[in-house]
Amino acid sequence: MKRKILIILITFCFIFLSNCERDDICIEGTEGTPNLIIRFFNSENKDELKNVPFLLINTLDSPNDEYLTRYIFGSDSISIPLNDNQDYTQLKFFYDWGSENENIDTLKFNHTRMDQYINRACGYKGKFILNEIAVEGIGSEGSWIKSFKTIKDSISNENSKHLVLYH
Amino acid sequence: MRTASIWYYTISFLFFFNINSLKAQSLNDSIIKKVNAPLTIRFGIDLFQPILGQFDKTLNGFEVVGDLKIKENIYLSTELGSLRRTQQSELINFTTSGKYFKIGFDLNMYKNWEGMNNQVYLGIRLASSLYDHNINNYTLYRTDQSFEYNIVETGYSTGKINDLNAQWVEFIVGMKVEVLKNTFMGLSIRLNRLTGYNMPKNFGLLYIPGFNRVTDENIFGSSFNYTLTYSIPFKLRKSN
Repeated sequence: MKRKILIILITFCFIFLSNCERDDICIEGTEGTPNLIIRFFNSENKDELKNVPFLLINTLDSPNDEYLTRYIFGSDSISIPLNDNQDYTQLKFFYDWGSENENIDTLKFNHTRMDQYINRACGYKGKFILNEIAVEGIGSEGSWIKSFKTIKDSISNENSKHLVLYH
Repeated sequence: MRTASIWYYTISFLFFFNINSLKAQSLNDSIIKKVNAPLTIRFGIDLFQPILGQFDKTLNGFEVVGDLKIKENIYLSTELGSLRRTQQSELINFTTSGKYFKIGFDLNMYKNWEGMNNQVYLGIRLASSLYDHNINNYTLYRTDQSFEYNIVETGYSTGKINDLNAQWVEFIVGMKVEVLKNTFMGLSIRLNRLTGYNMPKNFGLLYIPGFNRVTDENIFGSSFNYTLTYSIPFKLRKSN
C-alpha cells in the first residue's frame, strides 16, 4: 500500500516537473529596437534624393578593415544602429570609400532612450528620441555632408525616415 | 506516599495515553468520549532550497514549515519563506528577493495502522508574497542581427522595482513519513493559481517567491517542497 502510494506520488512529481513550458521564443514580426533611418538629399536641390557612392560606415575605434555597415553600390537610404549604452552615437561616414575622392565625416548623433518591456522572450525594446541638436560634426570645411534636417525626432519604428542629410 | 502514587499513576497514564493515543482510542471507546483528539505541533524546514543553494549560488532560499493537528485527520498548516534568486530570462538578468507566507489545511487520506503516524494528504493554502525585483542587466531586442549587441548594465530600465505583491491559492498533494520517532520526512507537490497581483512597472510578471515561475498569459504555476519536520513530543489537550 505504502509503496503504491509512493509510486503514484513520484509519477505525479515527474509529470509536474517535466510538464511542457511554452517556448520562450520571441515571435517573429515583433518590432525590435529600431535603427535610425537616414536618407540623403541633394544640398542644392533639397527635394531631390541624391545617391552616395560606396558609402561605408564605421565606429570611431574599430580598425579600418572592419566596418559597421557598407553600401557598395551606393545608396540614398541607410539604416544605422544607435548606441545602447550612451546617449550619443559617434560614427565615421566614408564617402566613396577606397577611391581618390574618399572623404570622411565624423558625425555625432545625440539622442535619449526609453526602454519598454515587451514580454519574457523578447525582453526590452528601445525607443530613441533625437535631441534638438540631433547631429553634430556637420558643415565643417571640407566635409561632404552639408546640413541635416530632423523629420521625426521620435524613433520608435523603422517605417519611414527619421533624418535627412544633405550633401 | 499515597499522594505520590496517585501522581505516579496519573502521569504514567497520561504519558501512556499521549504516546499511544490512537491505540488507546481504539482499545477503549469510553475514553474517546472523555477526551478530544490531542493537538500535536510539528515544525521543520524545507530541505530542497538550502541543498539546491549549495550547488546553485544564484539561489538563496529558506522555508520554515509547521502544522498543528486539530482533528483526527485535519491539520492546520503553514509555510513561511524567504528567497533571493538571480536568473537569466532570455535577454534579461534579474534578481528577485522577497518573503512569502502560506496558511491552510491538510486532510490526511492515509489510514494508519495502530501507532503509525504517516500521512498522505490533500491540502489547500492561501498564500501571499511581498517581493522586489532588481534588473541587473539586459540586451535590447533587435530584429537586425547583423550589429553587435551591447549589454545595458546601468541606467535606462535597470534598477530596482519595489513593493510588489501577489496572492495565490495552492492545491497540494503530499506525504509525510515518520522516519525516526517524532521525525518526519515530507514531500509535497503544489499546483498554484494566482488570484491577485500588482504588475511590475515596465517589467513582466516573471517570478514570484513561493509561487515560482509565472508563464506568460497563464495564472497557473507549480512548486514543491521537501521537508524535514519534528513533532514536539508533548501534546496539548483540550479539557472537557
